[in-house]
Amino acid sequence: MAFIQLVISGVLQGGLYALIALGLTLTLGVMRITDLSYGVYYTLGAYFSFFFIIKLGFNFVLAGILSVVLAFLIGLLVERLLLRRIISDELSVMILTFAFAYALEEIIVFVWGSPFRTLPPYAIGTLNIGGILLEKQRLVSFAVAVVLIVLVLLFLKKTRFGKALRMVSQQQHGAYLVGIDVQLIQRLTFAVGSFLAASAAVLLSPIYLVYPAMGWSPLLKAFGIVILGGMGSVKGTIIAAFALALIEVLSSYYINQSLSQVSFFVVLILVILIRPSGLFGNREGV
Amino acid sequence: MKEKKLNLIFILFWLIALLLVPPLFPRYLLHVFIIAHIYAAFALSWDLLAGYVGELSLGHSLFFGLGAYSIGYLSGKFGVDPWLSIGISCIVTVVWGLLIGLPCLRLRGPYLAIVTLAFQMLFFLLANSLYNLTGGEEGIRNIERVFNSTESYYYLSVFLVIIAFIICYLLVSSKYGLIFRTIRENPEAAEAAGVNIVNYKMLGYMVSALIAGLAGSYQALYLKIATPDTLSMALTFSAITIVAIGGKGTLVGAVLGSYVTTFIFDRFAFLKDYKMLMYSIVLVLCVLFFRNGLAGAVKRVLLWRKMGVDNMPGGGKA
Repeated sequence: MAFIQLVISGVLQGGLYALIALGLTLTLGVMRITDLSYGVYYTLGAYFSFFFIIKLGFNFVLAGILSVVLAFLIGLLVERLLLRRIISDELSVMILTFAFAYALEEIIVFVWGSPFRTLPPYAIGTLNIGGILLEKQRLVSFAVAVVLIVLVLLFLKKTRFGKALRMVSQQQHGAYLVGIDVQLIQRLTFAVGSFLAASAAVLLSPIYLVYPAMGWSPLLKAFGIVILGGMGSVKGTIIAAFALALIEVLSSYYINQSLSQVSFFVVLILVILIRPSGLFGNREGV
Repeated sequence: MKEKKLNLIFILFWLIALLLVPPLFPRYLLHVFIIAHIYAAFALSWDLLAGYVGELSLGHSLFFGLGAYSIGYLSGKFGVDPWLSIGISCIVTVVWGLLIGLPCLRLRGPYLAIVTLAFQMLFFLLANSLYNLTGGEEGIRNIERVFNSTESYYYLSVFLVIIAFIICYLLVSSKYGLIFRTIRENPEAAEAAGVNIVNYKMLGYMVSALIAGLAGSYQALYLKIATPDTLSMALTFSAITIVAIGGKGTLVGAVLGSYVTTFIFDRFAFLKDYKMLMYSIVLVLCVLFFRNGLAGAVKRVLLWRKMGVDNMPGGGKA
């Protein structure tokens, strides 16, 4: 029974990991940059919803929507004002995004202080199905995450914009030649990435603590998932997210509680050693 | 070759100036200089990697902290002779550099940056939480005193930073430096010319880890304590900002940058609380608008007279 319980909580966790990593994999594929500020949109999402719910007393649906829209707009601005100038220089992009992430973290400390915050859950209580306990909060978060992921996948497959996005990811020059506005696609993809990171934060902030440096751990996990799944492969990313969540949950239960952090690094190093292109990666594009 | 001459003149003046500091300036300034030298050595090690080899190490304080904690363990906990423990801590940092570098440097792209960042955060977490092993936030105290006077510590710090500078300088101005730059600018061409990219990157990474570890060891010896701060992201971030202010890929820039920042924060003590906020904003601005840093600006002034027709872009040859 314990095993089933663990697998279920691993899956619930995996849905949110997939949501976080999906945005990063899109940005990596379409923009060909290493965005180290990705975690900051997670932090911003959590702090915006903290601000709207606790400080302004909005209800959580309105607060969540406002938070992710704000994150989307900030993503647009950052791409236009900061990244666009130096996008061809790989090292500068990494330094700039690292610096930007750190700057926003310090600004958050400045504005909202550094103490740990909690947000009230928007679904209280647990379900008991045949002895398996499920927190309603986690179920709701998982459901919303899955809906968002499916929407993004449909968007990539069905719409003209999604088609153009996949084209830019596969063959940037080719996309340029057939008249796709590559810059516009890149800008919107970056903003969609920010949106996805912020929405994961909105869904997770009632479960975890909210604090200024909270964005780094999701950033590293998202990178780990993307590397494990294969750079640029959406399918690989989603599978890797669930795999990683299961490994974490199972190893922390069966081996050692504090191992859940370490197991992630072990998996990451092993992947880099044995199969650096990841499970599904051969740079086939999104 | 004007640059070589400038660098030699710089080292000479710098050394003379440093030897004149203790007799001419008050005792308390020595402490500021020592701190600046620790940062300078650490920033040099980061610049060697980012400015020449073309790899970012975003968790570089990992090596600084490993150096500091090695001293803390050996000298503070087991009472090993401090000089011997410096030697052992060098070995520890280089071995860790190998363990991280071997899988990551074989691959192109951001792998090294992300994996070092991950390891730095993991070690920071462990240093804070494993109270029995690392003393938690308190860190390891009781590191044996090696000198009685601040002057002696000062001269050791001068020795440290000059040695770090000379090692980096010799490395980048030798044939290795040329190969580093080729790898950075055009890895395919380097490979086609028969260069084993991984080996050269490893060499740069090892030397960088070694110097960072030495800086950390020295700081632990000087402050007689090793705390989790030596493993923090803020420390890496300071080094990156120092290099960006001074000018990436110049070595001189790392030294200039660390003097400037250390003395600014010493003069205006009230700024201390906003140090990281200012660093991060300055770094963003430097990357966007001040790419060559102070060293670039100085060089432009010094070489300005020589900038005749033949140095103009596209001119001279026609």
